[in-house]
Amino acid sequence: MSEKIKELLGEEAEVLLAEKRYEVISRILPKVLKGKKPLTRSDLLDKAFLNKYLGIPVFLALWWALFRFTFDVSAPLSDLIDMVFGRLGEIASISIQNEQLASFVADGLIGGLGSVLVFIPPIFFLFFGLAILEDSGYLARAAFVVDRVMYKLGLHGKSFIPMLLGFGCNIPGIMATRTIDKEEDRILTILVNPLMSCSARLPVYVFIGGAVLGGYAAAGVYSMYILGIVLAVLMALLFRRIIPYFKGKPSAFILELPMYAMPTLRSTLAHMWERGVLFLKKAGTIILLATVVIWALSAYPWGAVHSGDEPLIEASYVGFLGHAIEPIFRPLGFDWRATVALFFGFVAKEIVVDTFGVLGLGGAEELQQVFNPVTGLAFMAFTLIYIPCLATIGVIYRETNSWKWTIFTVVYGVVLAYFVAFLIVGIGGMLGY
Amino acid sequence: MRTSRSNSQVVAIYAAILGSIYLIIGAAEFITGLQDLLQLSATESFLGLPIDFFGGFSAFVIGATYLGGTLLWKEKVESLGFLLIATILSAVFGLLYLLIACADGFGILLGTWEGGEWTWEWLTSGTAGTGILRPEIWLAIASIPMGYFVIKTTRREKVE
Repeated sequence: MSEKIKELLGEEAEVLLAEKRYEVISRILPKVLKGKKPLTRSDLLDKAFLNKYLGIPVFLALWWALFRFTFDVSAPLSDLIDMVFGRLGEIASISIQNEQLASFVADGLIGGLGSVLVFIPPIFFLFFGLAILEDSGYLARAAFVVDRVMYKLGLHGKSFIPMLLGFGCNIPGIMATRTIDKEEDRILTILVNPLMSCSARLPVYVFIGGAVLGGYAAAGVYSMYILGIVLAVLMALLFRRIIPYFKGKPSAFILELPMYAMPTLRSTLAHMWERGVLFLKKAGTIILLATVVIWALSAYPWGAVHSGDEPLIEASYVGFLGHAIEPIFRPLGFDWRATVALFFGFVAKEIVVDTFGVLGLGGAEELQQVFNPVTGLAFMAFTLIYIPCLATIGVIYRETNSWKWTIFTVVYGVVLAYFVAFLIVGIGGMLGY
Repeated sequence: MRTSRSNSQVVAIYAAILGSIYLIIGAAEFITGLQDLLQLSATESFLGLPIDFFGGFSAFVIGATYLGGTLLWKEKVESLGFLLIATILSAVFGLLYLLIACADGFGILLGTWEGGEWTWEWLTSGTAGTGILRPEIWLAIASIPMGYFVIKTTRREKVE
């Protein structure tokens, strides 16, 4: 029906209706309003928020404030949760006599639950800040000012908010795509969202970059964020061109701007809670389960792993797995330990760093035995691009309600990660590194 | 409420002063932050200002928004919108840096529970760069009179 209207009238029905509606309004207004039109406070705010030159910079500044609020202000609360679970783990390992049960409770259950709950403060802070922006009526303006740019890039104007949310965590970013009405635009945004560098990847960049990139560590970390944005835009363009489901232009973005309002603490907290609890229910269970599985894989066969004073991880199932996968990653310069870290990172990216620690590669000197600057940078890029964490995959499935798109996201991520990492190693090799 | 010409001119001058300070501070933080990101040279702080690429950009935006409000000199009431937003941004960043300093303090307190030593360094250094000495905090306080004026002027539903 809508296609037929578009064919007949040369424009989407929604756009035509909106245009006609405002035409009628503009005809009526001069008849009923005499003299100079008075400006409301809402009008005054829009003069600046929707300004051609200042609109986007103001949005970026506010977004930066939200970013810092999310991570810097919530950081001590995450540390507190980490400390509490660390203590609980110590108590469990001391008080449980059975060695295997103690390891399961302390390292598996408590360690696993702690690793999930550490993410609660930033997630809740992010949702708190977003609720303020949304309830105040500003978020609708933000989508409005970036629509033109996003449309040219093949993405829907409303894609911008989920993409930026992806910097904090891909899960709320993907969940935020619900604001996109057209299914094709929503799926496309979900597919490229995992390329936005979430906060969980930052420890990996800092850890590897600091160890092997020397004076270029900061530039290396920064380049990962830029790489994520560039790849997200490129992949969106590519998918729209080659996948028939996405063919055509994104749907028109008609947005009736709501009036500005002062957000109340009660409604802001309610919105934060609604979304935060959803994260806990959907993602927490998946991550927790996966953490326990990883513990088991790294702890067994018990006799082989715990035969000496220190656990011999190489003798665990994970060790076998690492050696089995290693040949695939050899062209990228990754050995079995790096491979194992990437495998664990499938569950949550922070586990990449933890894995290196477990494997005795926690220091810069040890890491320099595994990576040179080029393979280190390639590893960082691979971590950025490959499979989003397990919780994100779960959310992708729930939001797309399709195994096809979920598997596609995983597969294209791995292929792209391999390609980019290979490119970095190749160019680095040509430059003589 | 109508703004008198003299009131408008005073406010426009104040906006120009605040805007210029924000611009200078923002530019300094942005440039040193960029140098630091790109590792062009050993980055040194400019006049003790924080080295902060995005923080500097944000301060620059606040400055530019304040300057957009200086058209109030010509009694263009639309410029009140720029002043209102500049004041809001100023308050947001002032509060943010204050919260970050407090979070740093809380982090040190947590460290003492783990055997660390309590220090007051979070007041003058830390995640926000210079703790509560961060200029944006003090500029937010300096923006209060501006906020008062703009809110009072726009309180009535319509501004003519």
